[in-house]
Parts: sequence; C-alpha cells; structure tokens
Amino acid sequence: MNTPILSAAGIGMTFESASGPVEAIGNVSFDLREGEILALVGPSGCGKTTLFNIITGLLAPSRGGITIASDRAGQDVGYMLQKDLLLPWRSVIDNVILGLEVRGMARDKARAIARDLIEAYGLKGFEDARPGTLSGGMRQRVAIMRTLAFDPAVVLLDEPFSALDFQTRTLLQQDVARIISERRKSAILITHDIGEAITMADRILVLSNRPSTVIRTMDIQIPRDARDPVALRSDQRYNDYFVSIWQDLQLPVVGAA
Amino acid sequence: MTHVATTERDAPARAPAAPAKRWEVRLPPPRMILAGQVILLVAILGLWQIAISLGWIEAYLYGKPIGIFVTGWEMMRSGTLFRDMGLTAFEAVSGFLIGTISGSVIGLALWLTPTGSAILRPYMIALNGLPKIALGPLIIIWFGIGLGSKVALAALITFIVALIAAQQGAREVDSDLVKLMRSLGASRLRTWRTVIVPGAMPWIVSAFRLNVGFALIGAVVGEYIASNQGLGYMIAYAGTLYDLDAVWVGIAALMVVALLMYGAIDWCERRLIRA
Repeated sequence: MNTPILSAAGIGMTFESASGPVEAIGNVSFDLREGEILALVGPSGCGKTTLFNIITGLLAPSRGGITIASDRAGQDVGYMLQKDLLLPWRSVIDNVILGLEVRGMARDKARAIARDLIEAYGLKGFEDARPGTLSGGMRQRVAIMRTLAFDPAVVLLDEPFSALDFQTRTLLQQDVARIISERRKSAILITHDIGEAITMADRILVLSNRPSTVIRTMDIQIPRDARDPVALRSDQRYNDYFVSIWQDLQLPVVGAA
Repeated sequence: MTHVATTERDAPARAPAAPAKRWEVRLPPPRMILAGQVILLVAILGLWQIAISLGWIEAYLYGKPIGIFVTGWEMMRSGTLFRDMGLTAFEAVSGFLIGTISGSVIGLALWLTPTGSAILRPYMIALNGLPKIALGPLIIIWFGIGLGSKVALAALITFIVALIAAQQGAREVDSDLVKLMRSLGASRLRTWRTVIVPGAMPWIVSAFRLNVGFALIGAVVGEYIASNQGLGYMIAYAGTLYDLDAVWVGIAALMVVALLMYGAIDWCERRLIRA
C-alpha cells in the first residue's frame, strides 16, 4: 500500500504566449500509492487539464517529471473523461475491447475478458447494444470498462461524471470507486467537485489557482466501504472535510480581490 | 429509460391542452401523400396545356404537354430514348464510381500525411472553388469526343468533391478520440483504420449524394460540348431545332436517371451507416 506507483516530482509548466510566458503550473509534487485513489481538487483554471495531459504523457512538462513504477513500457495510464468517447458504430462489447484489440489480442479472447467485465458491472444483456441507445450513466460505465479491460497501471479520471445528472453521478461515483478497488487499481481523480473527491478518494490534494501548487494534502479517514451517499452526508467528518477544502479554495480568490 | 416511459404515460393527461397540439406533426398515410404528388404533377401539366390551348403562351417557346407525351412515346417506341438514357446513365455511373471511390480513398489517406495535406491545401481550396465544367474543353481534347471524355469529366468533378468531403470528414473526427487511441498505444495507421475511416463515413456518404448530381452534370455537359449521342446531345440538338417537346422529354429522362441513381445511393447508405 505504501509503494508509490506514480511519482510526480516538481512538475511545472510554462506556456509561451503572445504576451509573454504564462505559468500554468508552479510546482506540483505528489506520490500515488498502490491501490489508492488520489483526488486533485482545484478551482477552475488551475491547470487541471494541463496536469492531465502531462500525466498521460500527451504533453511534456517544462520542469520536473512523472515516474511510473510499471513493468510495461508505455500505455501505463488509462483514462476516462467527461466525454465517454465510445465509438457509435461499435457495439458495447467491441467498445470495451478497443484497447485489447490495439494491443493485438485475438478478438475472441478480448471479448471473453470484456464479457466478464460487462457481467460483473451491471450491463449484462447490453453487450450488442449500440452506445447511442444507452443512457449517459450506462455509457460512462462502458467507458470505465474499456479503461479497465486494457489493464493500465494507473487510471486517470478527469471529471468523468460532470455531464451526468445528480442521481446518476452520485451512484456512479460510488460504483467506479468500488470497481477500482475491486480491480486493485490505483487512480487519480481530477475534479472541481469537492463532494465527489470526498466520496471517492483516499487522499485529496488541494491545488491553488494558477500557477498551481499543492496547498494541502488531506487523508480521508472514512473507510471506503462506509461511504454510501446518504451515510456520508450525515457524517460530521464529511462536512468537516468539505468545509476545510472549501475554505482552501476560497483563499486565492479572496487574495486576488 | 424509465424516464421516457413515465413521460409517455403522463402524456394523455396533458394532451387536451391546446398549445401543445398546435405543433403536433402528423403525416397522412403514404397513399394520400402519393395521391397528392400525382395530383400536383397533373395540375401543373393541365394548367400548362390549358395555357397553350387558350393561347396565353406560345407552344413553340415552351413546348406543350400533349406534344411531350407524343414525342416521348415515339422515342420510346423507336428505342432511341432508352439508348440515349442508357448511354448517359452509363457515363454518369462509371464517372461517379471512378471519381467518388478514388477521391474518398485519397481524401481519407491524406489524414495519414499532415505534411502532404498542408502542401496540398491551397490547391484543394482553389479546385473546390473552380466551376469544374470549365475543365470540359481540356477533357475533350485529351479524351476525344467519344464515351471516354464524358466518363472522364464526370469522374474528375466527382473526384474533387469526394476528395474534399473525405478529407474534411477525417479532420472533423473528435480529436479526443485520436488522443484516446494514442493513449491505448495505437499506431497512426491503426487509429486511421479504427477511428478515422468509420468516423468520416457520414461525410463521405453525403458526398455520394452530391456526386449523383455532379456526375450527371459531367456526362451531360460533356455531351453538350461534343457528342453525337446521349441525352445531353439529344437535348442540345432538339434545342437548336426549337423542338421543345423533345427537349422536355430529354429533361424528364434525365430526372428519371437521377431518381434511379438516388435510389441506389439510399440503398448503399442504409448499408454503410447503420446507426
């Protein structure tokens, strides 16, 4: 539980713009421990998307670097976005096997893996449905299965539920957190939703406005299996976490005003 | 899904409200629609014939429906109409197939070479804006006055349209999908096959529709410029003789060819895009 599977050391990002350099990320360091869900919470415009691109390897940081303890070269990070990015012309099962197919696994073998996932996580009977016929919540379920089927070392969740309605979002937050721990995956959740971070994460990093730095690290002491939506909201610790993160996020705004 | 069911069950209770009803679109049965379509045609032809008979307009300037039917019937009996239709349809269809398929394939392939696309970009914009029939005389000189030049003109026009549509379609595919494929470790070629080609398909198929019209333009204009058979030749020739009934027969025959081609495209579209 204590070996870091991913380390971000002194990440900084400066963009060149017409009006001179813009510092998006000041200095962000963190370790993701094996089996943990780590949430990065910050105000909008704190460089979350930039950080996402750096962690996935789509963007090289100006300073610092990411190290991933994984025996597989490349494709260490699987991600899930607000957009489900399902291919509308493929059935649910063929969307789930996308990553396996790219890796060159035989279709039958890949489908067997996908079928197990689909059955385990409540979409049995929808294997051959087209994504267009599914609800937003079901589509996001397919998206997380696609990520897990590929078996990445780290799962990166970038505001994956923000397009869903409140009820679906609440249920899915719980489900996805459960699926990730059942599969013994380590995950980073990038979000601006404080409640979501407390519901899903073991640890929360609060980021400041740009140029972003980590202003607080907080361990969530509520056991993950005791976090159902109703119980959480009547738990005094939930409120305490919420209030202190909320206050952290207000600081830079007050300072700027 | 439960949501939809609930709304439907609630609907009858709210139905009597007048404002909701105003926007309800309910088509009459298909038989009635067909009847309406026939009546419209008969009414136009009837009015036209009456206008000629009463001397409101001159038959030699406009043609007349009865004359059109007589001329058409004679041309069908002698077989010349079907020969001309067949020839023009053959030119248009072969040009369409050659141009649309090669244009779509090359347009899609350009996604694989961003440098190539960047180099070709201004030329493609210029070609897209060019009225392609301006190329007619060149094509006649290169391919002669026979069948080849008509096929070549139809192919050239449809090639440009398909090329640009396919390239645009490939570019419109969600860039996050491309990123996703990259994160899964897919090669560029793999991404092209798995995401770009199917994703661009709606654009390509909509270019098929445009190209039915363009292929016919290519064939008919080719025949206008230099030919001794085909519907384009027949229309142009009848026009010089002021035989407007024959001109109308040619136009009607072209419409029939176009309708048949659209029917074929509809059939392909249903097979290519299964939503």
